[in-house]
Amino acid sequence: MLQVQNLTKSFGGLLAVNNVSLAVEEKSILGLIGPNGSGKTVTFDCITGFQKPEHGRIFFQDQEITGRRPNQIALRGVGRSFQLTGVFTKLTVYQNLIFAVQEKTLRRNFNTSLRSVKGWLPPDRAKRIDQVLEFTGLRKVKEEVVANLPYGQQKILEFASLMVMTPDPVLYMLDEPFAGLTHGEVDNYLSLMRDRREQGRTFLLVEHNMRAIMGICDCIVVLDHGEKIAEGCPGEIQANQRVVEAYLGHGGIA
Amino acid sequence: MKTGWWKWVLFLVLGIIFPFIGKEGYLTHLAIAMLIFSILSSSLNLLMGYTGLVSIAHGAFFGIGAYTSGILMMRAGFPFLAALVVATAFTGLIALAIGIPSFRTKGIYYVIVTIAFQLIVSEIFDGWYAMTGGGLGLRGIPKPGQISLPLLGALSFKSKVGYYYLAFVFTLLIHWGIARLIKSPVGISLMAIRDNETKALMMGLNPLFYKIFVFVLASGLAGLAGGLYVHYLEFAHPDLFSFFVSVDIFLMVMLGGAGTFFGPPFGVFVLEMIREFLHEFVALRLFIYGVLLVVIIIFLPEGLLKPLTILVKRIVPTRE
Repeated sequence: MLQVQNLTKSFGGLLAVNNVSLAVEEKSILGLIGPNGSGKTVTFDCITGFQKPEHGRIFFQDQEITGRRPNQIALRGVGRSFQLTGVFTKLTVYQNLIFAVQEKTLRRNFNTSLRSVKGWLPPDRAKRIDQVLEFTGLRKVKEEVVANLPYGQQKILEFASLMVMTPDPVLYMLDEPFAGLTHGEVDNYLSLMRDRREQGRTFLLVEHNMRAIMGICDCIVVLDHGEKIAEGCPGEIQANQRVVEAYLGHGGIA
Repeated sequence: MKTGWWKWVLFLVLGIIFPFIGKEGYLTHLAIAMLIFSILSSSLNLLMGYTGLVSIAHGAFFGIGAYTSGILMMRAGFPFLAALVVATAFTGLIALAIGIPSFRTKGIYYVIVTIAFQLIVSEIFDGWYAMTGGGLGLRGIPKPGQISLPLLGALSFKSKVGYYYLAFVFTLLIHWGIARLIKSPVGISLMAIRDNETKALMMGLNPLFYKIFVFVLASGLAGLAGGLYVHYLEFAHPDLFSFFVSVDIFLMVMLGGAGTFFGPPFGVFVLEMIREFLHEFVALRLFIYGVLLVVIIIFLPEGLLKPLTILVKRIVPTRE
Protein backbone atom coordinates (compact mmCIF):
# COMPACT_ATOMS: atom_id res chain seq x y z
CA MET A 1 0.00 0.00 0.00
CA LEU A 2 2.74 2.44 0.97
CA GLN A 3 6.28 2.26 -0.37
CA VAL A 4 9.07 4.55 0.76
CA GLN A 5 12.28 4.26 -1.27
CA ASN A 6 15.64 5.73 -0.26
CA LEU A 7 14.17 8.64 1.62
CA THR A 8 16.72 11.29 2.50
CA LYS A 9 16.13 14.63 4.20
CA SER A 10 18.52 17.00 5.92
CA PHE A 11 18.11 20.32 7.67
CA GLY A 12 21.00 22.67 7.17
CA GLY A 13 23.67 20.01 7.15
CA LEU A 14 22.06 17.75 9.74
CA LEU A 15 21.00 14.50 8.10
CA ALA A 16 17.65 13.78 9.72
CA VAL A 17 16.65 10.89 7.48
CA ASN A 18 19.33 8.95 5.62
CA ASN A 19 18.37 6.51 2.88
CA VAL A 20 15.38 5.03 4.65
CA SER A 21 13.22 2.53 2.83
CA LEU A 22 10.13 0.80 4.11
CA ALA A 23 6.97 -0.82 2.83
CA VAL A 24 3.57 -1.17 4.47
CA GLU A 25 1.45 -4.09 3.31
CA GLU A 26 -2.26 -3.70 2.92
CA LYS A 27 -4.28 -4.36 6.07
CA SER A 28 -1.15 -4.64 8.17
CA ILE A 29 0.14 -2.57 11.06
CA LEU A 30 3.73 -1.35 10.75
CA GLY A 31 5.45 0.18 13.74
CA LEU A 32 8.18 2.77 13.30
CA ILE A 33 10.28 3.05 16.42
CA GLY A 34 13.58 4.52 17.51
CA PRO A 35 15.07 6.79 20.13
CA ASN A 36 14.15 10.47 20.18
CA GLY A 37 15.66 12.33 17.28
CA SER A 38 16.00 9.25 15.09
CA GLY A 39 13.99 10.78 12.28
CA LYS A 40 10.57 9.21 12.75
CA THR A 41 8.50 12.37 12.61
CA VAL A 42 10.55 13.77 9.72
CA THR A 43 9.83 10.56 7.84
CA PHE A 44 6.16 11.04 8.59
CA ASP A 45 6.32 14.66 7.45
CA CYS A 46 7.96 13.65 4.16
CA ILE A 47 5.36 10.97 3.48
CA THR A 48 2.45 13.30 4.25
CA GLY A 49 3.82 16.26 2.33
CA PHE A 50 4.87 18.64 5.09
CA GLN A 51 8.51 18.30 4.09
CA LYS A 52 10.07 17.80 0.67
CA PRO A 53 12.63 15.00 0.62
CA GLU A 54 15.98 15.61 -1.04
CA HIS A 55 16.22 12.09 -2.37
CA GLY A 56 13.86 9.19 -2.53
CA ARG A 57 10.40 8.38 -3.79
CA ILE A 58 7.17 7.62 -2.05
CA PHE A 59 4.33 5.58 -3.53
CA PHE A 60 0.83 5.21 -2.17
CA GLN A 61 -1.33 2.54 -3.81
CA ASP A 62 1.25 2.40 -6.60
CA GLN A 63 0.90 6.10 -7.37
CA GLU A 64 3.78 8.45 -6.69
CA ILE A 65 3.06 11.03 -4.01
CA THR A 66 6.59 12.36 -3.50
CA GLY A 67 6.55 16.09 -2.97
CA ARG A 68 2.80 16.45 -3.16
CA ARG A 69 1.03 18.75 -0.71
CA PRO A 70 -0.64 17.39 2.45
CA ASN A 71 -4.18 18.16 1.36
CA GLN A 72 -3.66 16.36 -1.93
CA ILE A 73 -2.28 13.33 -0.12
CA ALA A 74 -5.16 13.36 2.33
CA LEU A 75 -7.67 13.41 -0.53
CA ARG A 76 -6.10 10.21 -1.85
CA GLY A 77 -6.96 8.36 1.35
CA VAL A 78 -4.17 9.01 3.84
CA GLY A 79 -5.19 10.05 7.32
CA ARG A 80 -2.69 11.29 9.86
CA SER A 81 -2.77 12.08 13.54
CA PHE A 82 -0.36 14.50 15.16
CA GLN A 83 1.92 14.28 18.14
CA LEU A 84 0.50 17.20 20.08
CA THR A 85 -2.69 18.86 18.92
CA GLY A 86 -4.71 17.16 16.26
CA VAL A 87 -8.12 18.52 17.06
CA PHE A 88 -9.96 21.83 16.70
CA THR A 89 -9.91 23.17 20.20
CA LYS A 90 -12.52 25.92 20.10
CA LEU A 91 -15.09 23.77 18.38
CA THR A 92 -17.29 21.17 20.03
CA VAL A 93 -16.74 17.43 19.63
CA TYR A 94 -19.71 17.32 17.29
CA GLN A 95 -18.38 20.21 15.19
CA ASN A 96 -15.00 18.49 14.93
CA LEU A 97 -16.73 15.46 13.47
CA ILE A 98 -18.90 17.56 11.16
CA PHE A 99 -15.79 19.14 9.73
CA ALA A 100 -14.22 15.72 9.26
CA VAL A 101 -17.26 14.30 7.50
CA GLN A 102 -18.09 17.21 5.20
CA GLU A 103 -16.49 18.07 1.88
CA LYS A 104 -13.19 19.89 1.93
CA THR A 105 -13.01 21.82 -1.31
CA LEU A 106 -14.19 25.43 -1.29
CA ARG A 107 -16.19 25.04 -4.44
CA ARG A 108 -18.30 22.17 -3.12
CA ASN A 109 -18.74 23.72 0.29
CA PHE A 110 -19.71 27.06 -1.19
CA ASN A 111 -22.38 25.44 -3.34
CA THR A 112 -23.71 23.44 -0.41
CA SER A 113 -23.74 26.52 1.83
CA LEU A 114 -25.89 28.41 -0.66
CA ARG A 115 -28.57 25.75 -0.59
CA SER A 116 -30.91 24.88 2.23
CA VAL A 117 -29.70 24.16 5.75
CA LYS A 118 -31.00 20.60 5.48
CA GLY A 119 -28.37 19.81 2.90
CA TRP A 120 -25.51 20.87 5.13
CA LEU A 121 -25.38 17.53 6.92
CA PRO A 122 -26.99 14.79 4.81
CA PRO A 123 -28.64 11.97 6.80
CA ASP A 124 -26.12 9.32 5.82
CA ARG A 125 -23.28 11.45 7.12
CA ALA A 126 -25.15 12.37 10.27
CA LYS A 127 -25.65 8.66 10.83
CA ARG A 128 -21.95 7.96 10.35
CA ILE A 129 -21.10 10.57 12.99
CA ASP A 130 -23.67 9.12 15.32
CA GLN A 131 -22.30 5.59 14.96
CA VAL A 132 -18.76 6.74 15.66
CA LEU A 133 -19.87 8.81 18.65
CA GLU A 134 -21.51 5.70 20.04
CA PHE A 135 -18.61 3.37 19.25
CA THR A 136 -15.94 5.59 20.78
CA GLY A 137 -17.98 6.54 23.81
CA LEU A 138 -17.90 10.23 22.93
CA ARG A 139 -21.66 10.62 22.61
CA LYS A 140 -22.07 12.00 26.13
CA VAL A 141 -19.60 14.83 25.48
CA LYS A 142 -20.64 15.62 21.94
CA GLU A 143 -21.65 19.22 22.72
CA GLU A 144 -18.57 19.89 24.83
CA VAL A 145 -15.93 22.32 23.60
CA VAL A 146 -12.83 20.24 22.92
CA ALA A 147 -10.49 22.49 24.90
CA ASN A 148 -12.43 21.44 28.02
CA LEU A 149 -11.97 17.74 27.44
CA PRO A 150 -9.30 15.65 29.17
CA TYR A 151 -6.29 14.83 27.02
CA GLY A 152 -7.17 11.17 26.60
CA GLN A 153 -10.58 12.02 25.17
CA GLN A 154 -9.04 14.52 22.77
CA LYS A 155 -6.87 11.74 21.38
CA ILE A 156 -9.88 9.48 20.97
CA LEU A 157 -11.66 12.34 19.20
CA GLU A 158 -8.75 12.64 16.79
CA PHE A 159 -9.08 8.97 15.99
CA ALA A 160 -12.85 9.32 15.68
CA SER A 161 -12.32 12.13 13.16
CA LEU A 162 -10.28 9.74 11.03
CA MET A 163 -13.01 7.11 11.30
CA VAL A 164 -15.63 9.53 10.07
CA MET A 165 -13.55 11.48 7.57
CA THR A 166 -14.46 12.21 3.97
CA PRO A 167 -12.66 10.92 1.96
CA ASP A 168 -12.40 7.72 3.98
CA PRO A 169 -8.72 7.08 4.83
CA VAL A 170 -7.39 3.63 3.96
CA LEU A 171 -4.00 4.34 5.50
CA TYR A 172 -3.90 5.63 9.08
CA MET A 173 -0.57 7.24 9.98
CA LEU A 174 -0.50 7.79 13.71
CA ASP A 175 2.27 9.88 15.28
CA GLU A 176 2.75 8.85 18.92
CA PRO A 177 -0.97 8.38 19.61
CA PHE A 178 -0.41 6.90 23.06
CA ALA A 179 1.81 9.64 24.46
CA GLY A 180 0.33 10.86 27.71
CA LEU A 181 -2.40 8.23 27.89
CA THR A 182 -3.10 5.96 30.86
CA HIS A 183 -2.98 2.18 30.63
CA GLY A 184 -6.71 1.99 30.23
CA GLU A 185 -6.81 4.72 27.64
CA VAL A 186 -4.13 2.96 25.60
CA ASP A 187 -6.11 -0.28 25.66
CA ASN A 188 -9.21 1.62 24.61
CA TYR A 189 -7.35 3.21 21.69
CA LEU A 190 -5.86 -0.17 20.67
CA SER A 191 -9.29 -1.74 20.51
CA LEU A 192 -10.45 1.03 18.19
CA MET A 193 -7.43 0.35 15.99
CA ARG A 194 -8.12 -3.39 15.92
CA ASP A 195 -11.69 -2.72 14.85
CA ARG A 196 -10.50 -0.49 12.03
CA ARG A 197 -8.01 -3.09 10.91
CA GLU A 198 -10.79 -5.63 10.77
CA GLN A 199 -12.66 -3.21 8.51
CA GLY A 200 -9.70 -3.35 6.14
CA ARG A 201 -7.58 -0.34 7.12
CA THR A 202 -3.79 -0.19 7.15
CA PHE A 203 -1.67 1.40 9.88
CA LEU A 204 1.72 3.05 10.08
CA LEU A 205 2.45 3.82 13.67
CA VAL A 206 5.19 5.84 15.39
CA GLU A 207 5.40 5.08 19.08
CA HIS A 208 7.57 4.83 22.16
CA ASN A 209 5.18 2.68 24.15
CA MET A 210 6.84 -0.72 23.71
CA ARG A 211 4.05 -2.75 25.26
CA ALA A 212 1.58 -1.32 22.76
CA ILE A 213 3.94 -1.61 19.79
CA MET A 214 4.93 -5.20 20.44
CA GLY A 215 1.33 -6.08 21.08
CA ILE A 216 -0.28 -4.72 17.97
CA CYS A 217 2.30 -4.45 15.17
CA ASP A 218 2.77 -7.10 12.52
CA CYS A 219 6.10 -5.69 11.51
CA ILE A 220 8.50 -3.14 12.99
CA VAL A 221 11.10 -0.84 11.48
CA VAL A 222 13.72 0.68 13.78
CA LEU A 223 15.45 3.99 13.08
CA ASP A 224 18.50 5.41 14.79
CA HIS A 225 20.13 8.70 13.88
CA GLY A 226 18.17 8.80 10.66
CA GLU A 227 19.09 5.34 9.46
CA LYS A 228 17.19 2.08 9.41
CA ILE A 229 18.99 -0.32 11.72
CA ALA A 230 16.53 -3.19 11.91
CA GLU A 231 13.36 -4.56 10.43
CA GLY A 232 11.26 -7.56 11.29
CA CYS A 233 8.53 -8.97 13.48
CA PRO A 234 8.25 -7.93 17.14
CA GLY A 235 10.03 -11.01 18.44
CA GLU A 236 13.07 -10.48 16.21
CA ILE A 237 13.27 -6.81 17.09
CA GLN A 238 13.15 -7.39 20.82
CA ALA A 239 16.05 -9.82 20.50
CA ASN A 240 18.09 -7.57 18.24
CA GLN A 241 21.20 -6.41 20.08
CA ARG A 242 21.68 -3.30 18.01
CA VAL A 243 18.14 -2.13 18.75
CA VAL A 244 18.65 -2.62 22.47
CA GLU A 245 21.89 -0.66 22.31
CA ALA A 246 20.25 2.17 20.42
CA TYR A 247 17.72 2.60 23.16
CA LEU A 248 20.18 1.94 25.99
CA GLY A 249 17.55 1.47 28.58
CA HIS A 250 14.93 3.76 27.05
CA GLY A 251 12.42 0.97 27.03
CA GLY A 252 9.44 3.22 26.91
CA ILE A 253 6.45 2.49 29.06
CA ALA A 254 6.33 -1.25 29.60
CA MET B 1 -30.17 30.34 15.55
CA LYS B 2 -32.65 28.53 17.76
CA THR B 3 -31.13 29.36 21.11
CA GLY B 4 -30.55 33.04 20.50
CA TRP B 5 -33.67 33.84 18.53
CA TRP B 6 -34.94 36.25 21.14
CA LYS B 7 -31.88 38.43 20.56
CA TRP B 8 -32.87 38.81 16.92
CA VAL B 9 -36.46 39.68 17.84
CA LEU B 10 -35.27 42.15 20.45
CA PHE B 11 -32.95 43.81 17.98
CA LEU B 12 -35.68 43.90 15.35
CA VAL B 13 -38.24 45.46 17.65
CA LEU B 14 -35.82 47.97 19.17
CA GLY B 15 -34.55 48.79 15.74
CA ILE B 16 -37.93 49.54 14.29
CA ILE B 17 -39.13 51.53 17.28
CA PHE B 18 -35.96 53.51 17.82
CA PRO B 19 -36.53 56.39 15.36
CA PHE B 20 -39.70 57.32 17.19
CA ILE B 21 -37.47 58.10 20.14
CA GLY B 22 -34.57 59.58 18.27
CA LYS B 23 -36.47 61.40 15.51
CA GLU B 24 -34.20 63.78 13.60
CA GLY B 25 -31.83 64.33 16.46
CA TYR B 26 -28.31 63.43 17.39
CA LEU B 27 -29.35 60.02 18.72
CA THR B 28 -30.52 58.93 15.30
CA HIS B 29 -27.31 60.19 13.78
CA LEU B 30 -25.40 58.09 16.33
CA ALA B 31 -27.57 55.09 15.59
CA ILE B 32 -26.88 55.31 11.86
CA ALA B 33 -23.15 55.48 12.52
CA MET B 34 -23.33 52.51 14.88
CA LEU B 35 -25.28 50.43 12.38
CA ILE B 36 -22.70 51.10 9.69
CA PHE B 37 -19.82 50.37 12.05
CA SER B 38 -21.54 47.14 13.06
CA ILE B 39 -21.21 46.03 9.46
CA LEU B 40 -17.53 46.94 9.65
CA SER B 41 -16.87 45.18 12.93
CA SER B 42 -18.86 42.06 12.06
CA SER B 43 -17.11 41.72 8.71
CA LEU B 44 -13.72 42.13 10.36
CA ASN B 45 -14.82 39.56 12.92
CA LEU B 46 -15.45 37.12 10.10
CA LEU B 47 -11.82 37.53 9.19
CA MET B 48 -10.30 37.79 12.68
CA GLY B 49 -12.62 35.94 15.00
CA TYR B 50 -13.73 33.11 12.76
CA THR B 51 -10.76 32.57 10.45
CA GLY B 52 -7.98 33.91 12.65
CA LEU B 53 -6.69 36.46 10.12
CA VAL B 54 -5.91 39.92 11.45
CA SER B 55 -6.38 42.81 9.04
CA ILE B 56 -5.50 46.45 9.61
CA ALA B 57 -6.73 47.39 6.15
CA HIS B 58 -10.43 47.51 6.92
CA GLY B 59 -10.39 51.30 7.00
CA ALA B 60 -8.85 51.36 3.53
CA PHE B 61 -11.54 49.11 2.07
CA PHE B 62 -14.15 51.16 3.91
CA GLY B 63 -12.76 54.16 2.04
CA ILE B 64 -12.42 52.52 -1.36
CA GLY B 65 -16.09 51.57 -1.32
CA ALA B 66 -17.00 55.00 -0.02
CA TYR B 67 -15.18 57.07 -2.61
CA THR B 68 -16.14 54.76 -5.45
CA SER B 69 -19.84 54.87 -4.62
CA GLY B 70 -19.80 58.60 -4.04
CA ILE B 71 -17.95 59.37 -7.26
CA LEU B 72 -20.07 57.03 -9.35
CA MET B 73 -23.24 58.69 -8.20
CA MET B 74 -21.91 62.22 -8.18
CA ARG B 75 -19.99 62.27 -11.46
CA ALA B 76 -21.17 59.31 -13.49
CA GLY B 77 -24.83 59.66 -12.67
CA PHE B 78 -25.26 56.18 -11.31
CA PRO B 79 -28.43 55.54 -9.34
CA PHE B 80 -27.89 54.80 -5.67
CA LEU B 81 -28.17 51.01 -5.60
CA ALA B 82 -26.10 50.58 -8.75
CA ALA B 83 -23.36 52.77 -7.32
CA LEU B 84 -23.40 50.76 -4.11
CA VAL B 85 -23.23 47.41 -5.88
CA VAL B 86 -20.43 48.46 -8.23
CA ALA B 87 -18.49 50.01 -5.35
CA THR B 88 -18.79 46.80 -3.34
CA ALA B 89 -17.72 44.65 -6.27
CA PHE B 90 -14.79 46.95 -7.03
CA THR B 91 -13.64 46.85 -3.41
CA GLY B 92 -13.84 43.07 -3.50
CA LEU B 93 -11.76 42.97 -6.65
CA ILE B 94 -9.03 45.05 -5.06
CA ALA B 95 -9.12 42.77 -2.03
CA LEU B 96 -8.65 39.83 -4.40
CA ALA B 97 -5.61 41.50 -5.96
CA ILE B 98 -4.11 42.08 -2.53
CA GLY B 99 -5.16 38.76 -1.08
CA ILE B 100 -3.73 36.40 -3.66
CA PRO B 101 -0.07 37.34 -3.13
CA SER B 102 -0.49 38.01 0.62
CA PHE B 103 -1.85 34.66 1.67
CA ARG B 104 0.81 32.77 -0.17
CA THR B 105 3.33 34.13 2.31
CA LYS B 106 4.00 32.24 5.49
CA GLY B 107 3.18 33.29 8.99
CA ILE B 108 1.98 36.75 9.83
CA TYR B 109 3.49 38.63 6.91
CA TYR B 110 0.07 39.21 5.43
CA VAL B 111 -0.70 41.44 8.46
CA ILE B 112 2.18 43.66 7.44
CA VAL B 113 0.81 43.71 3.92
CA THR B 114 -2.56 44.91 5.24
CA ILE B 115 -0.89 47.67 7.22
CA ALA B 116 1.16 48.73 4.21
CA PHE B 117 -1.92 48.63 2.01
CA GLN B 118 -3.86 50.79 4.46
CA LEU B 119 -1.10 53.41 4.54
CA ILE B 120 -0.70 53.44 0.75
CA VAL B 121 -4.44 53.80 0.19
CA SER B 122 -4.62 56.64 2.71
CA GLU B 123 -1.90 58.40 0.74
CA ILE B 124 -3.88 57.94 -2.45
CA PHE B 125 -7.01 59.37 -0.87
CA ASP B 126 -4.97 62.33 0.29
CA GLY B 127 -2.95 62.89 -2.83
CA TRP B 128 -5.25 62.15 -5.76
CA TYR B 129 -6.87 65.55 -5.67
CA ALA B 130 -8.61 65.33 -9.03
CA MET B 131 -10.46 62.15 -8.08
CA THR B 132 -10.94 62.34 -4.33
CA GLY B 133 -10.60 66.02 -3.53
CA GLY B 134 -7.56 65.22 -1.42
CA GLY B 135 -7.38 66.84 1.99
CA LEU B 136 -10.38 69.02 1.23
CA GLY B 137 -12.58 66.01 0.89
CA LEU B 138 -15.38 65.24 -1.49
CA ARG B 139 -18.46 67.34 -1.02
CA GLY B 140 -21.89 67.06 -2.46
CA ILE B 141 -22.26 63.31 -2.52
CA PRO B 142 -25.92 62.77 -3.24
CA LYS B 143 -28.30 60.92 -0.99
CA PRO B 144 -30.48 58.24 -2.51
CA GLY B 145 -33.82 59.26 -3.91
CA GLN B 146 -37.24 58.28 -2.70
CA ILE B 147 -38.80 54.90 -2.94
CA SER B 148 -42.51 54.31 -2.57
CA LEU B 149 -43.57 51.52 -0.29
CA PRO B 150 -47.03 49.99 -0.39
CA LEU B 151 -49.20 51.26 2.47
CA LEU B 152 -46.46 53.47 3.89
CA GLY B 153 -46.28 55.82 0.99
CA ALA B 154 -43.11 57.46 -0.19
CA LEU B 155 -40.09 56.92 2.01
CA SER B 156 -37.51 59.62 1.62
CA PHE B 157 -33.94 58.91 2.57
CA LYS B 158 -33.04 62.53 2.86
CA SER B 159 -34.20 62.62 6.44
CA LYS B 160 -32.22 61.03 9.23
CA VAL B 161 -35.09 58.73 10.08
CA GLY B 162 -35.44 57.61 6.48
CA TYR B 163 -31.74 56.90 6.14
CA TYR B 164 -31.77 55.12 9.48
CA TYR B 165 -34.25 52.58 8.14
CA LEU B 166 -32.12 52.12 5.04
CA ALA B 167 -29.04 51.42 7.15
CA PHE B 168 -31.09 49.20 9.42
CA VAL B 169 -32.29 46.97 6.59
CA PHE B 170 -28.78 46.61 5.16
CA THR B 171 -27.32 45.83 8.59
CA LEU B 172 -29.99 43.24 9.25
CA LEU B 173 -29.55 41.49 5.92
CA ILE B 174 -25.77 41.43 6.18
CA HIS B 175 -25.83 40.03 9.71
CA TRP B 176 -28.35 37.41 8.72
CA GLY B 177 -25.98 36.39 5.92
CA ILE B 178 -23.00 36.27 8.24
CA ALA B 179 -24.92 34.19 10.78
CA ARG B 180 -25.83 31.71 8.08
CA LEU B 181 -22.29 31.56 6.72
CA ILE B 182 -20.82 30.78 10.13
CA LYS B 183 -22.96 27.69 10.59
CA SER B 184 -22.53 26.47 7.04
CA PRO B 185 -19.86 24.05 5.78
CA VAL B 186 -17.79 27.05 4.67
CA GLY B 187 -18.03 28.57 8.15
CA ILE B 188 -16.95 25.38 9.89
CA SER B 189 -14.02 25.14 7.49
CA LEU B 190 -12.95 28.70 8.34
CA MET B 191 -13.01 27.93 12.05
CA ALA B 192 -11.02 24.77 11.45
CA ILE B 193 -8.37 26.85 9.71
CA ARG B 194 -8.35 29.20 12.68
CA ASP B 195 -8.01 26.46 15.28
CA ASN B 196 -5.52 24.16 13.61
CA GLU B 197 -4.53 24.94 10.05
CA THR B 198 -2.05 22.05 9.92
CA LYS B 199 -4.72 19.55 10.85
CA ALA B 200 -7.19 21.06 8.38
CA LEU B 201 -4.52 20.72 5.69
CA MET B 202 -3.99 17.08 6.59
CA MET B 203 -7.71 16.45 6.27
CA GLY B 204 -7.79 17.52 2.65
CA LEU B 205 -8.56 21.23 2.87
CA ASN B 206 -6.66 23.92 0.96
CA PRO B 207 -6.52 26.95 3.26
CA LEU B 208 -5.41 29.39 0.55
CA PHE B 209 -8.74 29.46 -1.27
CA TYR B 210 -10.70 29.86 1.95
CA LYS B 211 -8.51 32.69 3.19
CA ILE B 212 -8.82 34.58 -0.07
CA PHE B 213 -12.56 34.00 -0.11
CA VAL B 214 -13.19 35.36 3.38
CA PHE B 215 -10.76 38.26 2.85
CA VAL B 216 -12.60 39.33 -0.30
CA LEU B 217 -15.98 38.91 1.37
CA ALA B 218 -15.06 40.85 4.51
CA SER B 219 -13.35 43.63 2.59
CA GLY B 220 -16.22 43.87 0.11
CA LEU B 221 -18.63 44.29 3.01
CA ALA B 222 -16.41 47.04 4.37
CA GLY B 223 -16.70 48.73 0.98
CA LEU B 224 -20.46 48.40 1.12
CA ALA B 225 -20.46 50.03 4.55
CA GLY B 226 -18.36 52.80 3.03
CA GLY B 227 -20.94 53.48 0.38
CA LEU B 228 -23.71 53.62 2.95
CA TYR B 229 -21.67 56.00 5.09
CA VAL B 230 -20.78 58.65 2.52
CA HIS B 231 -24.23 58.87 1.00
CA TYR B 232 -25.47 59.65 4.47
CA LEU B 233 -22.78 62.20 5.28
CA GLU B 234 -22.90 63.63 1.74
CA PHE B 235 -19.17 64.02 2.28
CA ALA B 236 -15.99 61.97 2.17
CA HIS B 237 -12.57 62.67 3.63
CA PRO B 238 -9.36 60.65 4.00
CA ASP B 239 -9.46 60.94 7.80
CA LEU B 240 -12.63 58.90 7.86
CA PHE B 241 -10.81 55.90 6.40
CA SER B 242 -7.40 56.14 7.99
CA PHE B 243 -5.13 53.72 9.79
CA PHE B 244 -6.65 54.94 13.06
CA VAL B 245 -10.10 53.98 11.86
CA SER B 246 -8.76 50.51 11.11
CA VAL B 247 -7.47 50.32 14.66
CA ASP B 248 -10.86 51.56 15.91
CA ILE B 249 -12.65 48.73 14.13
CA PHE B 250 -10.08 46.26 15.41
CA LEU B 251 -10.73 47.52 18.95
CA MET B 252 -14.48 47.19 18.51
CA VAL B 253 -14.08 43.55 17.56
CA MET B 254 -11.71 42.80 20.43
CA LEU B 255 -13.76 44.74 22.99
CA GLY B 256 -16.95 42.97 22.08
CA GLY B 257 -15.39 39.59 21.62
CA ALA B 258 -13.71 38.22 18.51
CA GLY B 259 -15.23 34.97 17.37
CA THR B 260 -18.63 35.63 18.90
CA PHE B 261 -21.56 36.77 16.82
CA PHE B 262 -23.06 39.53 18.95
CA GLY B 263 -19.72 40.62 20.39
CA PRO B 264 -18.49 43.02 17.69
CA PRO B 265 -21.73 45.04 17.38
CA PHE B 266 -21.68 45.27 21.16
CA GLY B 267 -18.09 46.45 20.89
CA VAL B 268 -19.25 49.19 18.51
CA PHE B 269 -21.76 50.30 21.11
CA VAL B 270 -19.23 50.28 23.96
CA LEU B 271 -16.56 52.16 22.02
CA GLU B 272 -19.11 54.74 20.94
CA MET B 273 -20.20 55.24 24.55
CA ILE B 274 -16.58 55.63 25.61
CA ARG B 275 -16.07 58.15 22.85
CA GLU B 276 -19.09 60.15 23.91
CA PHE B 277 -17.99 60.27 27.52
CA LEU B 278 -14.43 61.17 26.63
CA HIS B 279 -15.47 63.93 24.26
CA GLU B 280 -13.55 66.49 26.26
CA PHE B 281 -10.38 64.46 26.28
CA VAL B 282 -9.92 64.10 22.54
CA ALA B 283 -6.20 64.68 22.88
CA LEU B 284 -5.90 61.67 25.14
CA ARG B 285 -7.72 59.48 22.64
CA LEU B 286 -4.71 57.56 21.39
CA PHE B 287 -3.40 57.05 24.90
CA ILE B 288 -6.74 55.72 26.07
CA TYR B 289 -7.00 53.40 23.08
CA GLY B 290 -3.57 52.03 23.83
CA VAL B 291 -4.45 51.38 27.44
CA LEU B 292 -7.73 49.81 26.41
CA LEU B 293 -6.00 47.49 23.98
CA VAL B 294 -3.51 46.31 26.60
CA VAL B 295 -6.26 45.79 29.18
CA ILE B 296 -8.35 43.76 26.76
CA ILE B 297 -5.50 41.57 25.66
CA ILE B 298 -4.39 40.80 29.20
CA PHE B 299 -7.64 40.64 31.14
CA LEU B 300 -10.44 40.25 28.65
CA PRO B 301 -9.14 38.32 25.65
CA GLU B 302 -12.66 37.09 25.02
CA GLY B 303 -14.08 40.58 24.98
CA LEU B 304 -16.69 42.22 27.17
CA LEU B 305 -19.87 40.57 26.01
CA LYS B 306 -19.23 37.08 27.35
CA PRO B 307 -18.29 38.05 30.92
CA LEU B 308 -21.10 40.58 30.93
CA THR B 309 -23.61 37.96 29.83
CA ILE B 310 -22.42 35.57 32.53
CA LEU B 311 -22.76 38.35 35.10
CA VAL B 312 -26.27 39.18 33.98
CA LYS B 313 -27.25 35.51 34.06
CA ARG B 314 -26.07 35.29 37.67
CA ILE B 315 -28.12 38.28 38.74
CA VAL B 316 -31.24 37.67 36.68
CA PRO B 317 -32.59 34.10 36.83
CA THR B 318 -33.28 32.93 33.30
CA ARG B 319 -35.86 30.43 32.22
CA GLU B 320 -34.13 27.94 29.89
